Amino acid sequence: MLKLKYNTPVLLLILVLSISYLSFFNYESQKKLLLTQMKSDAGDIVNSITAAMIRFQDIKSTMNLQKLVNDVSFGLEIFEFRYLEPDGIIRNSMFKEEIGNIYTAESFKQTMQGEKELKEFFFETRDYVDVMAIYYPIYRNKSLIGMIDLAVDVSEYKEIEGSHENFALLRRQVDIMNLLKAIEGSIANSLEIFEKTDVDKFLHGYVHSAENIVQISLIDANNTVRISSHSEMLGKKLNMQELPPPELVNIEDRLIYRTVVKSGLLDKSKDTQLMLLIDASPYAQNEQQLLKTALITSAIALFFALVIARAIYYSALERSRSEKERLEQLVKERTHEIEVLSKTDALTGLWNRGYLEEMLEMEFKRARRYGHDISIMIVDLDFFKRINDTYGHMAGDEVLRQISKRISDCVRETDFVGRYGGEEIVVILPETSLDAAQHIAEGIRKTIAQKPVIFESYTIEVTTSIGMSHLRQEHTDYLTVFAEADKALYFAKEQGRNRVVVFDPSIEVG
Amino acid sequence: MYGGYSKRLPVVVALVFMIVVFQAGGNERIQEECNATMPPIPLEFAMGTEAYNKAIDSGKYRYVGNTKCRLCHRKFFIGRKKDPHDYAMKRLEEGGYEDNPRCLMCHATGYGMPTGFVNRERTPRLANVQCEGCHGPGNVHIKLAKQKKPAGGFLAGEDHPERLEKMCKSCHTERWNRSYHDLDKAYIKYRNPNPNARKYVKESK
Repeated sequence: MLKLKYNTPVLLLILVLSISYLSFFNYESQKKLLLTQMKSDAGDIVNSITAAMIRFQDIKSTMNLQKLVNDVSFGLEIFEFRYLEPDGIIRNSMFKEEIGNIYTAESFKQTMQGEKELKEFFFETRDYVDVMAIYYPIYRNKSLIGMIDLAVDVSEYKEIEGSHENFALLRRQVDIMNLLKAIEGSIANSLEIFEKTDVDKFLHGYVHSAENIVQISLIDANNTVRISSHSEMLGKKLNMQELPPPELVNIEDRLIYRTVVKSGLLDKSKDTQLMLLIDASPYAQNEQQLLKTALITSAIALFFALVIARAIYYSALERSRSEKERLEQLVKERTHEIEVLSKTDALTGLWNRGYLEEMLEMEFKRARRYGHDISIMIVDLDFFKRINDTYGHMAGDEVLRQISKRISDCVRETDFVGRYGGEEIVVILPETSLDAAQHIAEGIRKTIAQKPVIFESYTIEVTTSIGMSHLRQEHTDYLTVFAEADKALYFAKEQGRNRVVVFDPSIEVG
Repeated sequence: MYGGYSKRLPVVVALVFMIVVFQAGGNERIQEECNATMPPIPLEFAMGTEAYNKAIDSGKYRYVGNTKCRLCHRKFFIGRKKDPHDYAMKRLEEGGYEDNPRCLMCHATGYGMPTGFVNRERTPRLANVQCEGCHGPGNVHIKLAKQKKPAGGFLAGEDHPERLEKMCKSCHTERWNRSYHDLDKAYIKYRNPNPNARKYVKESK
C-alpha cells in the first residue's frame, strides 16, 4: 500500500515523459522524412531538367548523330565515323569513349595544314586495317563549322586487285558521297532549329510550367551564372563557398529549398553546377502541423496522468480510512469475545460461578437500594451421579448441556442463568415477585421432566429439584437469600425430588 | 642500349633455334595432318552434334566479322591484330594450303558452316581466327548489346566455359599444340585485350 503510494507518481512521470519523448521523436523523424522526400523530389527535378537540357543541347549542337552513327556503322560496312569541330575536338563518334577528345590522326593534321584536300578520298591504315577515308566539310554561312570523318575497310580490295583504282571502289565512293550529302542536310536542318531556340527561354518556360520550382540557374566553373530562368541573374558572380550546403533558406519571406548539384551540361569538364530553388512552403506547413500534433499529444498525456494520479490518491486515502475502521471494529469484537469467554462456563455456555456471584451481589444490592423484587432459584439435577456412573461422563456432560439450554429457553431475556458448580444451576430473576418466579420454576421443572435427554443410543430420563427464595426486608446481603434457596432445595430433595420448593422459615431440614 | 641488346641475345638465339627445330618438324606434321581423318568443325566439337545442329538449323546465328566487334571492343580488336591468330591465313598462304579444307577448319572463322568463311574472294572479312572463331556467330550478341541488355548471345561465350575450353582444344590438338600447354594460363592470357602484352589491361566500355 505504502509502496504503491510512492511509486505511482514516479511511474506516471515516466509514462508522461516517455509519451512526450515518443511523440517528439515521431515529429523529428517525420520531419526528416519530409526533408528526404523533398530532397528526392529535388533530385528528380534536377534529373528531368538535366535530361531535358541534354535533349535541348543535343538539338542545339545538332550532333545527336549517335544513333545515326551506330545504325550506319552496324548496317553498312563503315569502319570509322566521326564528327569533328574545326579545332579537332571530336563532337561525336561511333566510339563513345573518344567523344570530347582532340583528334590526332596524322591525315587530319595534314588536311588542316592544307597538305591534303578536304572532300577527297584517300587511303591509309587505321587500327592495322587498310581503309579508304574522307574528311567531308560542313559549311554554314560560308564558314567551316565542322567535318565528317568517314572511313571504310578496303583491305579485301587490296587483296584482290592490289590497286585502289578498281571499279568496285569507285562505286563505293559514290555511295559514300551520297550518304555524306544526306547527313550534311540533316545537320543544316538541326542548326536552323537551334538558331531559333534560346536555352534561357526554355528554362523560363520550364519554371513556369512547374508550380513549385522558383528558379533554375546554371553556374559555370568561374561561379558565374551562365544560363538562368531569371534574366536578372545572368552574368552574376556567386560565391559558392559562402552559400550554405543544400538546405532550407528564407528568401523574401518565402521558405525555399535550395540544392546545388554538379552537372556537365555546359561543357564536359563537370565544373558546371546546376542550382535549383524549390518552394518549400508546403513543407513548412506540414512541419508546423506535425509540431502541433506532438505538443497536443504530450499535453493530453500529462492531463490524463494528473487525473489518474488524483484518482489514485483519493482512492488510497479512502481505503486507508475504511481499513482503520475495520481494524478498530475487529479489536472491539475480539475484546468482547475475550470478556465473554472469561465470564462463561466452557461446558454449558452459561455464566460461570465468578461472574454469577458478581451479578448476584450487584443485582441484590440494586434491588434492595430501589426496593424492587428479586427472586432466586437453584436448579439441581436429580441423581446426576448415577447418570454419570451408568452412561459415562460424556453422557453426563451432554445431559448438563441440554438441560442448561432448556433452562435458558424457559427464562426471560432479563433473567440471569449461571452454573454454580457441578450439576447446580442458579437463575436470578430481577424485578420478579415470588409468585411469578414460582411459575417460571414450575415451567422449567416440567420442561425438563417432560422429555428425556437423548445421547447416542441412550434415552436418559432426567428430573430436577428447584429451591427458591426472594429478597425480603430482613436480608442484608445475597448470601442469606442464597442460603435460603439452598435450604429449600434440600427440602425438595428430601421431599422426593422432581419438585419446586419455596423457602419458608418453617421448613426444617433434617 | 647495348645492355638491352646483350640481354635479348640469348632469347634471339633460342628463338632462332626453335624456329629451325619446328620448321624441321613442321613438314612432318603437315604430312601427318593431310593423312589423318578430317578434323571436326570446332563449334560442333564444342557444343556436341545435337545442340550444334539445333542452333545452326534455327537460322538465328550469322557470322558478322570482327569490324563489328570493334565498335565496342576496340582495344580487343587492336590487341588481337598483333596476335598469331590474326596471321593464321597468312601462314596457310605461305605454305600454299589456303584451299585445303582440313587446314581452313582451324585457320579461318566459321569454315564449313553456313555464313562462315568460304574463300578469300567471297568472304575476305572472315579470314584468320577472329573473335567469332572461338565464340561462335556474333549477330545475336550485337542485337542484345544494341538493346543495352547484359551481353551474351554467343554459342560459346563466357557463360559456357566448358564449350570455350573445347573450342581451344578442337584446334590445339596434340599435333598442333605448340602455343599453349596450360589452358587456365592461356585463358587468363586471352582475357587480356592484347594477349601478348605483359600487363593485363582492363577493357573500358
